[in-house]
Amino acid sequence: MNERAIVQSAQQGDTEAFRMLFEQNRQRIFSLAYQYTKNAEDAEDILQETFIKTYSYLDKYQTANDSNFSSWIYRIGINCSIDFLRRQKKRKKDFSDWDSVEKTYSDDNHSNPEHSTRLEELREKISLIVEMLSPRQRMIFILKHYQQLNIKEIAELLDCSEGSVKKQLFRAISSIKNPLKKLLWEKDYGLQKI
Amino acid sequence: MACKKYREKIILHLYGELNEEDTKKLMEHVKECVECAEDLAYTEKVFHVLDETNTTETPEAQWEKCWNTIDAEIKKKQRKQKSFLSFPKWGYATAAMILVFLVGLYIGRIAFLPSQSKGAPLEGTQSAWDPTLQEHLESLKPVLVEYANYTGSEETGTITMDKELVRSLIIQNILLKRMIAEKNPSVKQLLEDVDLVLREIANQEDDDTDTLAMIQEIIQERGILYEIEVSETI
Repeated sequence: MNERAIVQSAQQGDTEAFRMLFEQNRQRIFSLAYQYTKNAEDAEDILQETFIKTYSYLDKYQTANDSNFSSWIYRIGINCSIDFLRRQKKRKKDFSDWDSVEKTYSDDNHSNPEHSTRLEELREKISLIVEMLSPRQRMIFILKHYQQLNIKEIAELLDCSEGSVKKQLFRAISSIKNPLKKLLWEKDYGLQKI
Repeated sequence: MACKKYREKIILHLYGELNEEDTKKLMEHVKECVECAEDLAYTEKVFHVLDETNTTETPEAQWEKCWNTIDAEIKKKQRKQKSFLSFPKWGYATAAMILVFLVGLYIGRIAFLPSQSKGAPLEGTQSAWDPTLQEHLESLKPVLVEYANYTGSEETGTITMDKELVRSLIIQNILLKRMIAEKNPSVKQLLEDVDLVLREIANQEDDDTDTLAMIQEIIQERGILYEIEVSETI
């Protein structure tokens, strides 16, 4: 049974067909959501929200005209992830000062080689920096850097221009580069010199 | 300004998104600009760090738990939809047809029926005055019939006419004539003939047989009784 036939069955109310669509697409959406939130529970919430929304919009999906179902649902997943983060950011107290993060992680007392490797420490720091990007910037950075999509694909998924994606990507990378500068030049993290 | 443009291109270059021509220009600029050369080296290092520190392993999600939540939500939606759709489909179709019929009826009444059906009657139209006219003609008929059939014999006796009644008929006739005149020329003519007859009756002396003969002549010649009958049947 091909994807198109499964989608058509699901559109007619066949829950089993919808479950098949869930099984075919869950891993890709969960991976993206996990990469985006760095939290398995949050990623599961996003996954559920994505499929509930997909079910609600299923009758609007046209098998003949729209992009393939996997791309369509992936786009819903992206939007659910961004919305999720926006809601969460409202709840959490936002970090507004990059310097405070840098200071916290530059502090010698914070490093504890006995409990964590330097690489792990750097990973945590990068994770924190990425967390501070705007939800949309973070999504563009993840789609580009980790999901390795090209700019054109990202623009299509986010329904915006390639120029807008490039601009947001540049801002995201700049935001990551600057706080890391001090650490990377002044400290030895055991990384290979380039 | 030029450097800012190249900083953006450094990122695109490292992602392999820069075309050949722009890459060539960037490399030429980097050879001459120390700051941009440093930025290229540093950005390359950051990319390397990002790759090194990336957690590629995605934990296994609790798929069954996730599906159960989704399934429960779907069932909730289906129940809602079912309760809304529990009314049979033919019921919706019938209701829709009745609604369309009623709307059509309403639009038809507004657009095509004469003004009398639109609520308050409009002044000056024949339709608005029809009942009054019919009533007036009904009141005239016995008077005119009596004059038309009067022979002067012993059997028919003399005509005794209530002058007050005749005057009120004249006034009503004048009013109706004014109201209907422009809208209905044939009724207007009838009312003018009636007006003439009524004035003669009102002015007639008790033993004025000449006037009586003239009244009879007008009624007959102008076919007033016939016209009244026709007007009543319209």
